[in-house]
Amino acid sequence: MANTPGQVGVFRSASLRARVLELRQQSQWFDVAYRVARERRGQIALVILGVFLVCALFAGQIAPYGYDEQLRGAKLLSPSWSHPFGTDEISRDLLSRIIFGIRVSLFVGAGSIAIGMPIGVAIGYTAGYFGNWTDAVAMRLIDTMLAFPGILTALVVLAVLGTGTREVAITLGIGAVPVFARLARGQMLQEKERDYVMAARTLGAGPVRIIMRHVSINTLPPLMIQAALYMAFAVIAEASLSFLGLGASRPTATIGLILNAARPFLTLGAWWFILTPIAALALMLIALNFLADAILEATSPYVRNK
Amino acid sequence: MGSFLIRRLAQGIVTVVLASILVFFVMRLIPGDPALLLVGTDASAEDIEQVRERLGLNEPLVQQYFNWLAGAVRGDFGPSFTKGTEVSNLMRVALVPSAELAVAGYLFALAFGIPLGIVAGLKPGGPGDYAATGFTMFTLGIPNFVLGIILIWVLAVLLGWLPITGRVGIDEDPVEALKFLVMPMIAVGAGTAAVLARFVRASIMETLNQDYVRTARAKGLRERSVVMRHGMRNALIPVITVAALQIGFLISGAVIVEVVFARPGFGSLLIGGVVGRDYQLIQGMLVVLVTVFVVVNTLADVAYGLADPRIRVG
Repeated sequence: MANTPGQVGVFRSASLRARVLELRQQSQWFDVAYRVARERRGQIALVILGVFLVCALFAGQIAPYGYDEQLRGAKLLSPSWSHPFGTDEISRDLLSRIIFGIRVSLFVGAGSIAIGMPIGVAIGYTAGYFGNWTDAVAMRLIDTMLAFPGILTALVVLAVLGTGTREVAITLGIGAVPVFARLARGQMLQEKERDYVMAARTLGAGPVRIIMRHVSINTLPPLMIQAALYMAFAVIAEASLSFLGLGASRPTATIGLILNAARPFLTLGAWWFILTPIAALALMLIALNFLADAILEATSPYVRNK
Repeated sequence: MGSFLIRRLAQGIVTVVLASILVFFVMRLIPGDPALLLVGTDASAEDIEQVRERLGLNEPLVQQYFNWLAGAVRGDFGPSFTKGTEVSNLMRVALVPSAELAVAGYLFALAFGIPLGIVAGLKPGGPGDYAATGFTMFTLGIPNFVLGIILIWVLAVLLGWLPITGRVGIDEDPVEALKFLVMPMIAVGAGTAAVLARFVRASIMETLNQDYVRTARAKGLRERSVVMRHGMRNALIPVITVAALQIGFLISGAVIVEVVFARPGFGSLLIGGVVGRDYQLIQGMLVVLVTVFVVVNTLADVAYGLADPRIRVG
């Protein structure tokens, strides 16, 4: 290994270095996180997502005003010290609304992964491991779901569930199932021929143990990359759907609703009204894509030890 | 080639039929009585019963599906529950503006994305490569409907070059029609253009590293002929598949962009259907969209098979 862990001068104290090395050897999660944190793109992603995560978790404490708090005499003000992002058409502080909007974006993004990834991966692993008719049935279903491109699946499910933030998260979670199922199946087909699976089977491990303890660890990186990319898609889809009036309803603050409210004011020169939600959205999306890149760089065997 | 074609065609038909089953039965989970939507809340019980009977809603669900499918094959998707007319009429009216936008957006993506990818791939690290990377980054952070808003702001509001929203038919006034089409076209096509640029770039870089390209250089061919005859032809074959797969995403993206630019078409119709929970309308439109998507993918597979003999043999 060209880059022996421990020689890197990130940590001054030798005992801390030793502890980090030990953790990296014990846990693949920690090792991937460590490598991502050493990539430049990974660092940018972690900083942005960290800030946004804090905003989302503590929106009520961080935001200077409430998301629906109408201030006296503050209609459509351009950015200033008291309102860094300006105010909107009904005198609400835009910085506060965007902070609460980030909360909705991340909630939908994380929620859709939390719903869709376990179900999709379970279906994919099962189909790939057992093959035969299990695989045939599962793949037909997955291909059928994937025949509805992009946001169309979401429109079908939202017609049934009705509109709202929670409904959007569930909808996008359902949309994630075929994506993860297909990826996990492909991974399983590759991995199950490997010697270590044969070895585990020889030692008497059953399918559940082989999948949970052996294969899942080895197929983790592509699934994590897909999770970051799907989360970016979910954030876009949430913004689109609430922009169209199919997500959260007023007066909730979401990026899509702010953009929708801002659109008529473009002609009045209210540039901050449109630019600030776009900037927040763009930062979030670029961070998620960088995170995916960094995980790939950190886990790909070709570039890993450079 | 014949058996490959038939196999691919059969797969496509199975996917469309399964998708129609999926949409039909999922739509039936929508709470509420469509007959009530159609006659209004102040109708008498007899009136409602009459409408239910006329729409065939009293028959078993499976029977309803086959009735609907039999109609759909003939282009009859039944009445819309909210718009007071046949779904097929609504779609016929919406088809022209939507098809116009989708085709224009796709042509933009091909005409912009592929040359950009070629320039970037031939000279990695050069100015073309930087332009391609910058463009890709931009589209990653700016989804299509947001790009639409930015375009309106810059090109229509600040510079005043183009009309803000709406549509004029090409048959009415071609020049005006194009003015209205430019911004939505870019908004719809930019994402696809970026995907194509990135893919073409990677494909060209990989191809130019192949042994046969080295051989072509070694035997003293001019660089131009190496790149064009040996490199480009092989590099662009896999682009067919990627370009075709993008069409589905382009169409689903157009749904939102149409609303941003207040253009009539499938987008506003479909979203109206979702808001009004008009399942007859939604299921008709989705089956048509899925069919388009599957047909395009099938054609792409066939074209790929024609372009690369190795595929159809396997």
